[in-house]
Amino acid sequence: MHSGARLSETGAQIDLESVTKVYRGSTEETIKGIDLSIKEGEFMTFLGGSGTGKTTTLNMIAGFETVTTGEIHLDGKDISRQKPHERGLGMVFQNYALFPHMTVRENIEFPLKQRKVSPKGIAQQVNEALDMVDLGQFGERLPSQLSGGQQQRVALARAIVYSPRVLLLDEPLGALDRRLRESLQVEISRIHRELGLTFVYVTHDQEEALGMSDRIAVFRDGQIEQVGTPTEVYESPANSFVATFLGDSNVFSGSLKGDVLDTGWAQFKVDAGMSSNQQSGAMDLVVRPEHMSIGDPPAAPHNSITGGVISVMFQGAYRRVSVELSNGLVCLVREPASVRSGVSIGDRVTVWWHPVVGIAVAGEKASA
Amino acid sequence: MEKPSFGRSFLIAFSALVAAWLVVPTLIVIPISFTGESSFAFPPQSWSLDYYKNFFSDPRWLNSLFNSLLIALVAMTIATVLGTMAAYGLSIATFRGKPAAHQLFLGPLIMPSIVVAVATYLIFLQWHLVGTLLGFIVIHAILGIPFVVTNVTTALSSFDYNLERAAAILGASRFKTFMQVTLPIIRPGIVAGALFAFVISFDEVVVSLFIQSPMLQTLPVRMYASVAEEVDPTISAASTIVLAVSAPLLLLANTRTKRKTKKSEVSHA
Repeated sequence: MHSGARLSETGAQIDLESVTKVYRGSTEETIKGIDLSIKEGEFMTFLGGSGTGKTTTLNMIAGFETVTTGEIHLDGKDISRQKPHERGLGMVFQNYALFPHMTVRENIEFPLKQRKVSPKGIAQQVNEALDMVDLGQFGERLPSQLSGGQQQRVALARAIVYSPRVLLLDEPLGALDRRLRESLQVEISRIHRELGLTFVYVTHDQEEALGMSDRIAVFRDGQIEQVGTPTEVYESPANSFVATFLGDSNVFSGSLKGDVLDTGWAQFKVDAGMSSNQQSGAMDLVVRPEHMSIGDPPAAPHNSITGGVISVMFQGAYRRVSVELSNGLVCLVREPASVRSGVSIGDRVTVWWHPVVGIAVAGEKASA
Repeated sequence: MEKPSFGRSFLIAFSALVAAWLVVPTLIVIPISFTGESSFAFPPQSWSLDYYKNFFSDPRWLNSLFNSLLIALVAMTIATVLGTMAAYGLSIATFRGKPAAHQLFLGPLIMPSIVVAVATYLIFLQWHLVGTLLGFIVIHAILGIPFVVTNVTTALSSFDYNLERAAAILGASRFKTFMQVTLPIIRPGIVAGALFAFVISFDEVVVSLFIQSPMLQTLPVRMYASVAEEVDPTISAASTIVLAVSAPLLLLANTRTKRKTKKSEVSHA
């Protein structure tokens, strides 16, 4: 059992209201009007590629970047003009940002000393924070004497020791190898659960986002494309950008007439519930590779296409099969390794899926 | 061990020769300062501490040494504070003409000392600073600033500014962040710059000659006057003292810079 219960406090709510950012000397908006409400104690992930504005937005919450227009509220109070050290937030950086001239203990004491906590209180809180990240015996070491994973755990301890109500995490696992990333993901999730703080987590890694978050905000080009639970953004992407960004997708563009999508080279049935969500017109049909099958389609309603296998990649539990259609499009199918379909490069195959697994989203042209 | 080849032996011998050529003429003042004769004859025929006794009993020599130490200490302090602030400001600011501003701080290094001396003299005449302690301190501080700026800028070039962000979010104001995080990390560069600034002031002759007065002389000025007026081996004792103060400080400054570079290499690995 970890004795971190005393450090915990309830998280704070963060509201971004029409936040924009224009960098000095630039005429273009880097952040183009973000409205987002992050609930108390929520694990919110900003997901996006580089240059999409997720880190800029985090830095505006932290106070490292000014807000050009709009406001940022912490529990209803406008903090957008406050200096970083007045905001009382916690933050974990990608490169750890531990003070190299201080021991682990001195690093963790730093925020408490700024708050003029009594020496006795400092000792107690530092020990709790060290225990929380299982680094009790490393207090007297210098950061340079620790591994990357240990350094990031020290940074975590330092960020939570003064019980901030919000923890900002800027790609905290980006510099670590895969195995460490996975164990720290578990640790970060545990700390979130135990402390009940509001977490704002920036990453470009969709697996991290899907695995850890309560909700994900998908960033693109200075805007949020979609906000939703991992299940929502994965299973009901708002558009084909979100669909392709989170996981692999096959996207068929066309125009919708009733419950049939006409791509110009084929016609696909679209689930009636899906099609009614969308206006007629330009539309993308998204089908996940794991929802497609190779082989003879069943008698039930289905969509199918034929093409030649151009690659087969064995990936342990799965096989990734790329099928090139006659019009040059490449369709990705992920079949469980247990299915012995026996396809190999050069085979002509039929790929099929049930209409219900297809996701109809507004076409890229229409949404742009 | 492998026997060194002829080429390698030659290289070592040649390097030793160059090193000797650079240093030995300077070191010759040391034996001369212990001479028992009343001339600069080398090598000395007899040995004594007479000229050190002379130095430490003659108020003109003693006062000039005291003046030099006082001026160097105060000038070093001012140069270190101003130079560190300038280097820090230049490294975090973003504005057009920043490279030009940086060059400006190196100005005293680039200007011929004789020109600096004449200009200083003309201005100090108007400001009534000629022959004053304040005058010496002001111009020596200015001459020391480029060395502080250069050393601190080097130290800051490997400084991770994310540490300042971390300190800020942890609750430290700008000033506390600088004092508790930035300053301790760039301290080796500041110390090296300060040592240089001290030695620059302690050794300075040209400008000092222009702004001295018979009542206020620094040690190098007094030495110059001594050579011009008389043949007195006390000057070799004075030279040895200057050498004994300056050389260790510069060596220390150099090793500090080296160690700092090594450390930053490790942290980048």
